[in-house]
Amino acid sequence: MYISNKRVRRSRQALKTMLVYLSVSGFCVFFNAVYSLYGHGVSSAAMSLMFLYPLLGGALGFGLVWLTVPAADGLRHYRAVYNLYNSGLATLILGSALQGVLEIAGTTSPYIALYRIAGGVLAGVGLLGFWRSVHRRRRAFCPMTIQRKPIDSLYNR
Amino acid sequence: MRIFQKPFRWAILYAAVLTVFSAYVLLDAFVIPRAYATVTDSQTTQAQADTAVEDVSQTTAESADTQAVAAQAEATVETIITDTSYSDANLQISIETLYVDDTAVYIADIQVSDAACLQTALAKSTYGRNVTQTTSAIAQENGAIFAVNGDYYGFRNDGYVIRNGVLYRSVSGGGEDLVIDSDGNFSIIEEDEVSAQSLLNAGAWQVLSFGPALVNDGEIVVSSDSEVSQSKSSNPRTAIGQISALHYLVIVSDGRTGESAGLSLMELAELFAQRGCTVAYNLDGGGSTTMWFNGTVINNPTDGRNYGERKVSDIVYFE
Repeated sequence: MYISNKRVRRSRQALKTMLVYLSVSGFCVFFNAVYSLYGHGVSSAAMSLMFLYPLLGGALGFGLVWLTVPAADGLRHYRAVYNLYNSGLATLILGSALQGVLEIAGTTSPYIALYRIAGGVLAGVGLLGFWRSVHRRRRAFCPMTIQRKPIDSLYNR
Repeated sequence: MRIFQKPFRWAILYAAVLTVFSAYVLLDAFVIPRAYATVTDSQTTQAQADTAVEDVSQTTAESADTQAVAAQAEATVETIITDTSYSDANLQISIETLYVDDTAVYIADIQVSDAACLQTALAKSTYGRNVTQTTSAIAQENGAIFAVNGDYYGFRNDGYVIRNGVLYRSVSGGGEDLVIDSDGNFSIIEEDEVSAQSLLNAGAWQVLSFGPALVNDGEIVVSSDSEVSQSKSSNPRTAIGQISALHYLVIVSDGRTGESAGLSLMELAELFAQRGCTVAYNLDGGGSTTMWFNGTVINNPTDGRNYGERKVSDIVYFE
């Protein structure tokens, strides 16, 4: 038995993204506070709570990736799923901000639902793609995967 | 899809799409006018004729006497106009300015001889979204003597709209509406409980959908917690109430300035209740709040940033 002294390479990009989302979350709180100053006492839950998207979906999500998925940025199709997920979160945040602006003004728009649908689909596809990439890599290193190959194939080359 | 693999190309492209779409959503909500119907004299005349036919059996005997009395009164009563009052055979208006709760309040006591003196009008005589004009412009175009802003129906996609006997919108917003029947009597309804068509069939002449109701059956029906769109602060307000048959009260308050804080809905309701209103209803307020009388804007309209009249969708007026 031994203790490995090999350092796990964590994804610097996940860490950077986590910090960016923390900043975005702070900006959302700031934006809501400033907007409330001009709202004449009218507030909107959609705008007040929009910071949760970058905080939970962004900072917490990428924090978990940074902690639990070593070298996440080296995964197959990582850039594609990263782009999709971030686009989804951006759509949800913007949709929430717009809904707040409209609610505070006292009106509505049928287009706000599109932000939720598009944001949810993009983030969902991004998450699914990321999960598949992680799953594939684990399978590639999993002994069970190797055992599935017929033993003959090791000799019939 | 190689574009997904590039670090910034996708982000830039998607950000551009989001920006353009969001700009369109905001323009659609606040700026782009959409006309759905034009108010024609024939529509109103037809609606009036329908009402008249329904009432004819009841009023035939009375009408001759009433018309004779009205004609005699019209001939003998001259029109008297001052800065704060108006009086002729059909319409008496008296406007009082008070300063209560650190707020300038304008109270118009209005009596009419005929329910037809109480009217509503749409901006540019058009029903639509973002079709707007100032209260004074709509009032002048319609020959009004006294007018206030209406419910700004054109800023929203829901809430019943019935004007001068014509149904324009039957989409429920779930709120409380003010119904004015062809006799000029006020009542409060919940949109979830009755359809716009059934209101029209029952004789609704005007339906205004903003709210909330301030007074109903002589009782204050708002609390300090029930406010428009969660707004608990003092604001410029416009509201209309009925004291008795053909006797109305319109109250407008200035707000959002150092000189005038504005009223809460509770304070507004108390003013109506103190003056004996049986029904009172809150109309669109804030920057829309405007009281216009005989060619002059009486209050000081402001949204807290800019002074001057805001363009609105509709007005309530007396002629």
